[in-house]
Amino acid sequence: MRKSRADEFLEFASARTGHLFRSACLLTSGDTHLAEDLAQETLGRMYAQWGRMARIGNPAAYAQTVLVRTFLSHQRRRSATERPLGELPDRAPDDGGDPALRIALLDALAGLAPKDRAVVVLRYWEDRSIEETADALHVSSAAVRTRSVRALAKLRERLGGSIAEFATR
Amino acid sequence: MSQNDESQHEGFEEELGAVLRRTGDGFSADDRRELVAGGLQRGRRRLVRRRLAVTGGALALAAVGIGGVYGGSLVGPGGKATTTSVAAAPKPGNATGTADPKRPEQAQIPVKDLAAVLKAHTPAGTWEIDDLDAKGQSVGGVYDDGHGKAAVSVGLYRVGRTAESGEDQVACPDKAVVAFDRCISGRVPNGDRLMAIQGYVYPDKREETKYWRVVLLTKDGFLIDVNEYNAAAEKGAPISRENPPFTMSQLKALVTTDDWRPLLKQLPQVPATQLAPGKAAQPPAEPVGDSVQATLRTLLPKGLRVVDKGGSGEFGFLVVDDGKGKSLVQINVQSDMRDVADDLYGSGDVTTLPDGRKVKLIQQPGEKGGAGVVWWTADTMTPEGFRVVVSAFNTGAQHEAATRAEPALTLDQLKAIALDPKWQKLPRK
Repeated sequence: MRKSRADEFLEFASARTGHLFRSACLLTSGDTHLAEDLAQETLGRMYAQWGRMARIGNPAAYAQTVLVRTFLSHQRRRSATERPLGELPDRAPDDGGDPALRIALLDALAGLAPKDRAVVVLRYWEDRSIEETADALHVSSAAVRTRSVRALAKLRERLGGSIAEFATR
Repeated sequence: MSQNDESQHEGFEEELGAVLRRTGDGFSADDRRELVAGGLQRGRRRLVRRRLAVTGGALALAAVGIGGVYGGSLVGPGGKATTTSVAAAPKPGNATGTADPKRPEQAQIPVKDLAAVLKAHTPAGTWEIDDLDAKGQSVGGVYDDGHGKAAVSVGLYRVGRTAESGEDQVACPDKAVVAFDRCISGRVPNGDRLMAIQGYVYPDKREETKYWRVVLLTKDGFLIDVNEYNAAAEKGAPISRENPPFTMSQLKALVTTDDWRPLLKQLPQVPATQLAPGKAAQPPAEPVGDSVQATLRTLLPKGLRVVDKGGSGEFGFLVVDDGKGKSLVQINVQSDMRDVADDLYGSGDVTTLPDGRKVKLIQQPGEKGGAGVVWWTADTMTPEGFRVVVSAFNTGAQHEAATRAEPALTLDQLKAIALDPKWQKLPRK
């Protein structure tokens, strides 16, 4: 018997939700409540399109794209939250490692424009190519490159040399 | 940039990836099942809404990709089963009710016509063209001259609204970010502009698949974009030869042939709403510099002292004081927001003005943790999707406690600011 739309979707969602949520945490620079909201919204959009998923070769990757677009449209819509306040993230990740640098990273991410942050997350967390990042964001690859340079310079300035020590630990 | 700087830069990118992964992996959802259930519920609601009435909206935005206007890179070779193609415009006849009327349709050029020009202007070899019977505005396939299979694609586009969609396509990227061996850009004898780059699929060269690309920007606003690889696919296929099959001169000859002209003419026009009156393909983008904040200042009611200011592009803010305490005033001036109009103005205190502009007034508690903070907003949008949203708080900073009972501006004053004609005349870049 053919699985129902809901069953198929649930199978997909159960496997992907953790990763979607983690991506959302990076996009929101540690705002876990917003990240939960974005993850659910993304799953909702995926479900609504589930009938057409057969034509989509890689729903997992597509879900990430939907997440990033949902995040960006959310950022534009909210409008009143874009003034960088230098707030510490709501909740730091808690896997027992050195929390200081992670908080520093989330804080540094928070200092980026939302689209720049999306570029960083797609390129260095999702490991997407420039071209794929450009597609996900509906901008040109040249624009992605420009945003990458700017974002990396800013992150580097904020994080300084400490990142190297942290990365190799 | 010195060799040393460059290697440091690459090192930083790698380290950033490692730190991002460790930081991201450190987050765990409190209850994943709850998220899944919530997602399912939202999806069901979304379906119901769609069945009730579909007039574009966010779903359509996600489902409909770049359409006929150049908004990003072209579809990858093969054009299917990649993350690249999932956002591409739906195939004709599918996805009824999801097409966004303000986005251009994908062109209906027979792929075989595109393939014919491609074959006619490249050296002899065997071709496997994807979706030969389909229609669209790009063609992709695998070429073999006997020295190894190679993915090749060509896409035709009309230049969209922004520099990102036109001039930026024919400018060489910054070598600090992208590894490439060679890039040249300049004009061809008839005045069209061209960029030729020999780069890599993965900018960090973790796989050394070469990616060569030549883009032509014609004087009349078309882009012809050809790409080739030294593998049978952009990704996921092993390198099949040392270099992609065609030389840069051959690619240049391919993009500059007049045989594309009849096909370019078949590309759909950029919708009129995306173009500024009297100008072709150079319509408004973001407001320039701090013009939003500066204009906001000119529209403030009398008697307010500005004690802080900031913002750029679409966003500006002022902290004002009327002698009774600080009050933060924020504004966003945004174009092309029509896709979220239903979400924004679908409920609440919304009025529609005679000229079609929607105005929504909102009074709500602050959301950044400042004690006793209230947040008043006038949110307006023209039928074309030009949105001005002005908010005021009863504090100088959202995360700080209230400094006064109410914001320094009334809702009516916020509304008057948002509806001022000055916003539509801001200098833009």
